Amino acid sequence: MMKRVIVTICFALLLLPLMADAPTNSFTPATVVLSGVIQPKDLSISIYNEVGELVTVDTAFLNFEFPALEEWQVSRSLSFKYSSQLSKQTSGILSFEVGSLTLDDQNTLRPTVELVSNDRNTRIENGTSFATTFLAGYQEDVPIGTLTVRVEKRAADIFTAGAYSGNFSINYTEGT
Amino acid sequence: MTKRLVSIVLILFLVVGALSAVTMPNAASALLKATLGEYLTHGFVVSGQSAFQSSIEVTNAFGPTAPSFTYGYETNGVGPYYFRMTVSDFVSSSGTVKIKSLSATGATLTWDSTNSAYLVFTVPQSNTFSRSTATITVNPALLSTDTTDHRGVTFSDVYTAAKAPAGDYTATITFSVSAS
Repeated sequence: MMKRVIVTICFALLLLPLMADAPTNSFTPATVVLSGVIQPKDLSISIYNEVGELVTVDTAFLNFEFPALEEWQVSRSLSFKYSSQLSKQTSGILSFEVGSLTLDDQNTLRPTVELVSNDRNTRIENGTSFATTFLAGYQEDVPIGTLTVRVEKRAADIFTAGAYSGNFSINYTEGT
Repeated sequence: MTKRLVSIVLILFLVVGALSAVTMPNAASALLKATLGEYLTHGFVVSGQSAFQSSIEVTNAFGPTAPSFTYGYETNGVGPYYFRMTVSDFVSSSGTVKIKSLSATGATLTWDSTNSAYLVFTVPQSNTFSRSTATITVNPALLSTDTTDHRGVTFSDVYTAAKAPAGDYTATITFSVSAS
């Protein structure tokens, strides 16, 4: 019995070096995380005249030349486009209010407004507004729609010659 | 006189005999044994740290300087060991930016189609001790004209930083070790 114990102990002692030989390896994966930010670019809406020129603050007017005829109809159009780089899509409404063209209290021309959508993400509301969905990601000069201001004189209308002036306003309301 | 002489001679013989009977011991020796265990460590080289780091983060990946990091290993183990790198795109909650290219100094990145990963280092079976590091640079697709990824696959420009949705993006690169 004692011999067996001694043999067992010796055997165990002999095995110890083998157990100690288990490699202290580290096979756990190593990971690097790279992080970067794309800064958002705010929504900007641009206006273009009939020949495709950008309308600036200095050129933001519609000039009508009334012909010397009994009846006539003249129109001017403006196109709207947007650019942005948003993190998620949003929506907004461009609404228009066109005032009368006036020489004086007796000579007033009342223009009509017509809106046409130039993009499937834009619909017309109440005949006076563009309701647009602005897409996420980089968007450059995406069409919104075209506004046409039309002035008409019928044969029965009598207007004094002269320079008529008026104004129209554009309002933007952010949606959700 | 003669008895005294005999006695002296006898005593001398006895002493000499006794002296002759002393055996010098053999030289003593001690046998020292030690076992050196195998080890393998791998990870990222970080300034000020002596050991490889298992995880790090590199920020401003879309900045003017392409992000880079140094990866390495050290082992005294008998190989083979294969060190592979898997790469993900940059993703956010609303978009993806692809990786245009990868480059390395100190190693050659070889595509391993079986494991869908790049082979970075190989430790052979004959290894006794080796340590290697490589600096790897990741080039995200920043411009709208960067429309081919690091595997040569063409993609739309919406997967470039120029045209992807704004937001915070992260890409994860993982290094793993295997024996095959």
